[in-house]
Amino acid sequence: MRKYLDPALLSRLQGLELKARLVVEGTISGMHKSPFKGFSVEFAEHKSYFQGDDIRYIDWKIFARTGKYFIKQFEEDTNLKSYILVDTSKSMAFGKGDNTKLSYAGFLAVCMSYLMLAQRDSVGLATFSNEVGKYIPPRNGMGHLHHMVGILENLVPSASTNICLALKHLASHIKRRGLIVLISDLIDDQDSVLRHLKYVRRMKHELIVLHLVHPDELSLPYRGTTRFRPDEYDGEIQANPDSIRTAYRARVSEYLDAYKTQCWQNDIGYHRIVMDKPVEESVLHILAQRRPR
Amino acid sequence: MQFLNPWYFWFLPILAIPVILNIWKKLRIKDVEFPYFFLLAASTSKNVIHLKILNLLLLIVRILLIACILLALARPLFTASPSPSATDAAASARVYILDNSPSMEVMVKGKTLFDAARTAIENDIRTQNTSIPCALVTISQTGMLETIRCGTNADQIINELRRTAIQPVRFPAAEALSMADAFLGTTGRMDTTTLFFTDNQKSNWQDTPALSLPNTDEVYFIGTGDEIYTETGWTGYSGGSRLVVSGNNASLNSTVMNYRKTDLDNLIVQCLTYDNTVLAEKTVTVRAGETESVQFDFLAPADKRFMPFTLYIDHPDFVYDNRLPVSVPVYPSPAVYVPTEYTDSIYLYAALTLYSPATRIVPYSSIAELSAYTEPSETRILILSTPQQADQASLQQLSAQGYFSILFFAPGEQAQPARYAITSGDFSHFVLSPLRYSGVNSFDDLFISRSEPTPLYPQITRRKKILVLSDGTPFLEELTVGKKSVFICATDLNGTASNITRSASFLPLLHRITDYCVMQSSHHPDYYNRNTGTSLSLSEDAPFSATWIQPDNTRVPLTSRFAAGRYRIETPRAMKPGFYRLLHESGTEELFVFAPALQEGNMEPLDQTTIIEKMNDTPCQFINLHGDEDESYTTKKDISTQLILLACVLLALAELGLANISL
Repeated sequence: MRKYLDPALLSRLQGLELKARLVVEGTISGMHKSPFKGFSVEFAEHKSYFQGDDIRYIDWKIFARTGKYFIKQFEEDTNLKSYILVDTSKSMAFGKGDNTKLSYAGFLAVCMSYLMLAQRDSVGLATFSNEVGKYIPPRNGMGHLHHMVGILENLVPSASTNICLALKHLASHIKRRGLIVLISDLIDDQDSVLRHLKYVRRMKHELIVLHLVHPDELSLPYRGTTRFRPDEYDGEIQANPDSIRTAYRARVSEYLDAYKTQCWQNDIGYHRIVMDKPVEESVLHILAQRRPR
Repeated sequence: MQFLNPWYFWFLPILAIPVILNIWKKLRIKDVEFPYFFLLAASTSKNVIHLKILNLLLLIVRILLIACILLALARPLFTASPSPSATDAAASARVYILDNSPSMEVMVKGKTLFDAARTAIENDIRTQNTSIPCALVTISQTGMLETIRCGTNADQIINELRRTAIQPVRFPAAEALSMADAFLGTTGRMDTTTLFFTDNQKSNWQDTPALSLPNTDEVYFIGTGDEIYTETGWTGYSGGSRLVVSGNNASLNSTVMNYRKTDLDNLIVQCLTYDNTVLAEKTVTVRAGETESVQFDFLAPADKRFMPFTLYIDHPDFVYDNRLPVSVPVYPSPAVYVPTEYTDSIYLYAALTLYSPATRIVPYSSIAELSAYTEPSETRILILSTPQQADQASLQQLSAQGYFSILFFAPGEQAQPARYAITSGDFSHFVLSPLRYSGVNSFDDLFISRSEPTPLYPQITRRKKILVLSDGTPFLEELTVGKKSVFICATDLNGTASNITRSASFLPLLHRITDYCVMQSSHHPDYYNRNTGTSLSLSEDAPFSATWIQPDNTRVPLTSRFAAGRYRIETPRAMKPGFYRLLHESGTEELFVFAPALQEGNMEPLDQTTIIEKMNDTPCQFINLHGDEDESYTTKKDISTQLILLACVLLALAELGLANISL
């Protein structure tokens, strides 16, 4: 439990707000704007009256000026239902000692959860590899965080990655629009993953992709002849990293940029988290990028 | 296939280095589970199997590279055609160089190397196109190298070849090759070959720089190859012998050197008198490459004039050379007077200077000037060649002056001279007896022509016919004129009436006559202590000095040096036979007779690598004269070595390429 709830970390995150950039649907008033306009206190816009609209919200002042019926619409702050999806495939075990991608993902998940719970949003958790593993429905309250931490702490990397399945599963189970935070190294079929991310986005969910990348995966720092094996399937290649480093870096850069570009184009929040930075720095960086526009 | 430097194969274990490196490299490979494997796989086109094949190729190339380098260092001798055949070299001008130094008398497979070489040359000449110029280079009786041109007459060179004999001198290989090259340059032929029949002993090549033979296309060294060196080798003599006579007791010290690679057990060394009576005999064992001192103690003959001796080593490898030419002059050394007016006088002078037991060889132009050279104690032998000097009065006058005379003249010659042969001889005569012993029973190679018999001198009381021609007239006879002998030989020295001056028996005959004359002279009473070495070693407990007086009265002051616990003096080398005196500080004088033994020097064969280096850019091949007919050993420096080096370079490039690819 202590592993993830570092008081120093938590104190640094206190006061920061995580605000969904887009309006999400909520059930309780919160700091997030509700997509349901009409009954709240904060005016949003006018819209033409159509038959069946509630006549209580007709703006008579405009009718007096223009002779046309307009309905007043309001935005209301709602509490956010967030879903944190954590990749637990074998590739997430990459790293040295305790500093694996999975542990980093756990930290990130806890931080994000804490932030959202602190602003009275409800947070759920789902883990997945080639299938959906643990699933905790969104709840609020700090007690819920402890429950999540307990699960995150005991994650064991296993099996291959199937992000698409996880996204599809989650999308089919979320009735209302919410915030989905995907924490993964995204090592899967890129086209398929992007297709499913777009699908989720089209379902009006706010989507934040935290793409975890280990520094070694970027730089390929190995020396001498090395036998590389994939961690999720069979095969091996033997190579001198010095001779393929340049080509590899170009391919990695191309691969990561494809995610970034596609996400950007589809209004999906994308953050490449390189694990050479402390977790809190990464979280702060994410929040800085996600301040409301 | 044989190798010049086979010991390089001791380095064969380094072939394991690439294997060890390969294994070590495999052990050093790190295993990494890498998430972005698919990106890595896309970045390299080589899979594991590909790399394994490359590594295997790299390993093989490295092993081959090391093996090639070792092979190049070991210098392989590739099997090639057995000899320069008549067909492939039929159109090439060729020179036969025949090494006739004594070491060529080594017996191999029941035949001496010298005889085998002569047979091989003769056979080769007979197979050649007679229009192709060829020549024979060998040491003549003068001790000098001589080029005998064949022209288009094969018989001529074969006749010359048959007359060649072993000469007890070093054979200068470099000079012979240069002479052959000079001859080949005069032929104007495109293809030139030198066939050098030799055992390539080291002394042949001593002080030889890298040769330049611009006119020689190829040199074949035909001789023993490596076979003799490793299997039998040579035995030779080192240093001189010292004879000490004290009253009737004589003591002779000599040294036997074993140049072989194997020990010589039960080597019988005999000391023989002039008539081959065994004075003493020793059985010694000489270790490989070492020397062994042999001391003979024997009773000196009452008449010490009969003490010239030879050493004899009894071993089946030797036929003639085993007779060590240590001829200790017991008598006052003679002076031989050579006339200068005839055409071949320089030749005779040189021949006698080199080989005669005479102390002095004095050229003279007329009898009138002879008294100027006279020394009272020496035996004087006069060679006369002018018919005018041959009258009886002149001979008697010369005899009275103490001269022994050898008279050469042909009283008359014909335009178309008849040919005579020597049909009989008195082989019991001192002059002929050693010749018979050495196998000379006839003088078949002599061509003699004259019209008149030798004149008879009525006042001469005693005459002995030594050699008689087919018409019954004497060819060589001994006359007693006064107290001295006169030898009359019925031919001139210019070679018009006979070819005796070019025959193999001429010089031995002259030497025997000289010896005979000396034996008839009174000997010096102090000449019993003799030293046949080339220098004298003295040692004492206290510092001392002496003066070394050489035959020409040159005085060399000597001061002792401290070495090995004693004070020592080493006299300068006695370069020629003669009387040497050692004058002590006390004023006493010791007399020594030095007769440096003729010897060839180091008889160990020179390795082929060194010869190839000395031959510079001239291609050379080595052929074993006694090898099997179907197999001989040749090395082609310009092809084999360069091919191997080329292979090394290619393999090195392949190694670099593969190493780069396999990264």
